Amino acid sequence: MTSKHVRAWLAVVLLAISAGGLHAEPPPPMAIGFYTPVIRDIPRKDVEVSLRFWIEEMARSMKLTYKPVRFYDDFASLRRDFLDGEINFMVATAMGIVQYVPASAIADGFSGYKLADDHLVLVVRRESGIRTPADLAGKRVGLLDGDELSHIYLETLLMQAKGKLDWSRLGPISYEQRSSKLTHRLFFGQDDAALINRSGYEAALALNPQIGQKLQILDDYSFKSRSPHIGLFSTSISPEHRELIIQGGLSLNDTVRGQQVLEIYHADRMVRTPVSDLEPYWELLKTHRALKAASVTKRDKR
Amino acid sequence: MRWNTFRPFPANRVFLRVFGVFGSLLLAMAVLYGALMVPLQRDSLLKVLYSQASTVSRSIIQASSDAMLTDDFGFVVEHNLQVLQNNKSIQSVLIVPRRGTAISITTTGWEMLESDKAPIQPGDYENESFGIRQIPGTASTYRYITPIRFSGVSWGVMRIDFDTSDYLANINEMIRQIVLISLLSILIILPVGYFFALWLTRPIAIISNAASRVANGDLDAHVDVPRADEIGDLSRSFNQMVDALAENRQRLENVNLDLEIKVAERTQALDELNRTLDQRVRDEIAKRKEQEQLLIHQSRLAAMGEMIGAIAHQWRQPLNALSLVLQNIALQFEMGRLDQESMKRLKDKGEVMVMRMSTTIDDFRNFFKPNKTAKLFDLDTALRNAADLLDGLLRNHNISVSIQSEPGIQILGFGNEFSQVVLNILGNAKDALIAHHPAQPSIHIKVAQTAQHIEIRFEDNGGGMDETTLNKIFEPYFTTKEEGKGTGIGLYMSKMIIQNSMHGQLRAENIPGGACFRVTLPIHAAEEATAETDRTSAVPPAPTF
Repeated sequence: MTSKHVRAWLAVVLLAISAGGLHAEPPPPMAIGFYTPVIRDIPRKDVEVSLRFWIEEMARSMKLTYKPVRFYDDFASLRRDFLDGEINFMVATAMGIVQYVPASAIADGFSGYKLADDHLVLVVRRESGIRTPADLAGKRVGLLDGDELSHIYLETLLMQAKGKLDWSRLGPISYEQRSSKLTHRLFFGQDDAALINRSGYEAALALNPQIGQKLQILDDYSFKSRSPHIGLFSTSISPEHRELIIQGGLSLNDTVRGQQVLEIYHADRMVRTPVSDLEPYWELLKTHRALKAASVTKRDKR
Repeated sequence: MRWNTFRPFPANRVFLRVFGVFGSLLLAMAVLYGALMVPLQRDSLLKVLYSQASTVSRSIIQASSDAMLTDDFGFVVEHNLQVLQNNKSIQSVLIVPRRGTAISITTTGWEMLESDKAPIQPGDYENESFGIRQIPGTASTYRYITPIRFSGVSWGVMRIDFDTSDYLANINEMIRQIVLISLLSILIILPVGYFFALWLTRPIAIISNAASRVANGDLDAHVDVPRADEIGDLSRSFNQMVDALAENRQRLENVNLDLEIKVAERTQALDELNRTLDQRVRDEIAKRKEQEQLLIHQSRLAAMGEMIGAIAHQWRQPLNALSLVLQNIALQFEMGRLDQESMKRLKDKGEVMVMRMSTTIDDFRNFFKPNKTAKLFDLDTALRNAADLLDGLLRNHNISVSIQSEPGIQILGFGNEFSQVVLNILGNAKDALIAHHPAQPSIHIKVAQTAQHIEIRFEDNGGGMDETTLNKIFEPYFTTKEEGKGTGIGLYMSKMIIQNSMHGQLRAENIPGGACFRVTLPIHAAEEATAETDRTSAVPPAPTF
């Protein structure tokens, strides 16, 4: 996840707060939960300060009530508070949501959106000879630390290539917080392959064209999705309130103030994020579980 | 001259000087301030840049040390990209290890270089290097180069370029502020200086103008400076001075007028005096001569009187004896016992008496006969002869005379005149003793000789003199005696004789119980004529009548 995504999500949060003040009946206090791996590219303290600053400003102008934004390092706590009603809007990784939150508890939301695709891509060193996931055997692989999608997707690729899950066939696995760091490790020959967000890779490539001479993306093995992060309401908030707040959030695209906010968070525009955006993740999770079950069955038969 | 006579730009020199000095000082201070502050601030900003560069370099090296030592260049790149992202003033970072690849990181990207093709080499920089550089294609840059060492071992070198736009902006802003402050100060202080100079100098100009008028004689010039400070005091003092000058001038004019009148009168009197001066001088000289003649005449008369008195006294005894002779002749004739022998004896006796009387006259005439030339005479003899002349008179009043002298002391001078001096002093002492009636009236004559002088003291116990008498004792016509008994000339003539004829001195003073007349004579005269002795000079001269 890049800083642009995070800023987009921060904009979403602020817009959600401001939009809530427009409803005829006072909406319940906005209680936002923030899953910190979403903001892995931005210092957490910076996010806290900027988020609180904007929330306070918006709350004063729109006479909105709100609770302090909560930050979660583990998804279990986020899930608990979301289901218990302690928070009613969450910004989290899409893979985390499909893994831990029941679909019945989530409703459409909104978030900042970057027009360019931001897929999870498999990047390899050209000299490594890796052309398919099957070539990862014995290779050093880099993954985003704490990213559920990278972990599940790599397992899926490996199981699809070899028919079974065997981590021991890989070389050393390194974990890094940022995609750019993984890219640099590949560039300097510390890793042979890595699952990286495309935006992160392209950002590193823009800074040093030499990277393109040494690394390449295996597009056929990329995970296509709209965005790795998403903002969703709790179904505990009435559809009218949700819709009112969403419309208020989307209206930022048409105001000077809104453009300024989007610019700050490097989002191209504010978009509705339906629950259906999670479909690729559900499908991946479903495939992963199926492959894993088959792999277990094969191992048991042996 | 009024205080409120306002002129916006007075043309007096004091104002121009004060205002000029004020303005010049102000401009000088502004220029000096700028000249001092700009380099100081520039140096200060350079120090800030150095401090910043040093801190950043140490931070990068410290944070990347592990990565550098393990060749984790990915971390080095990541970290420095973060550094550049967080610090907008850093333009680029170049890290050149002794082995491996160099990394150049800029705000727009980064690249890997072969170390031997890097623009700096580790061996060229054993110490840090820094300063502002003009890099082609960019604005001026603050370049900081420092060697990278771990545990004293050189690992490589790092170069950091800082954007100096903030530095230049600060310099420009500082210069702009200095100029602005200077201009603002000038704008504020110049009017203040103008009014200050005006306030300070205008009363001075007013007083100066008035002083010029006073100097030109206009004593009606007054100043009106209603201020409660030294200048106000000065204006008031000036007015008082002008008033005093006017008053004094009027007074002076009056005095001048009086003086002119007096000068005219005195001039007229002087002219008259000049016309009669010669005649008056001649008259005064004639009067003086007449007085001197009179004095001489009186002196002669006095001497004659004294001589006659003395002769009369000397004659008294022979006249009595002659009378007795005549009575004896008559008695013996009546008794019939006048025979030839008796007649001859009585006639011889009478002739002796007559001869004695004749001798007396000769003695006195010789004594008072003035000497024509100075001759040596014996002092002791002269003193005793003079005392003998008055012996009868003194004895009648029981006045004893003692003379302490030694024979042989020769005096060059006029012996008879000296004798007159002795007679005058003794006569004066006699009169004082008679008037004072002491129990044992006495006169002591003492002669003392020193190497240079002969001093003759005439001491009596006649009571002395009061202060007034003592001061006037030698003045002519001064006498304390009754009318007809004293002429007031004797002591005056005595002093003249001692001073003028014998080159000595005569003084009078009081002593216990009486007075002392002290005659001091120079001794050289005596030595010059030791061999020449004129005993006859001591013989009293014949009276000159």
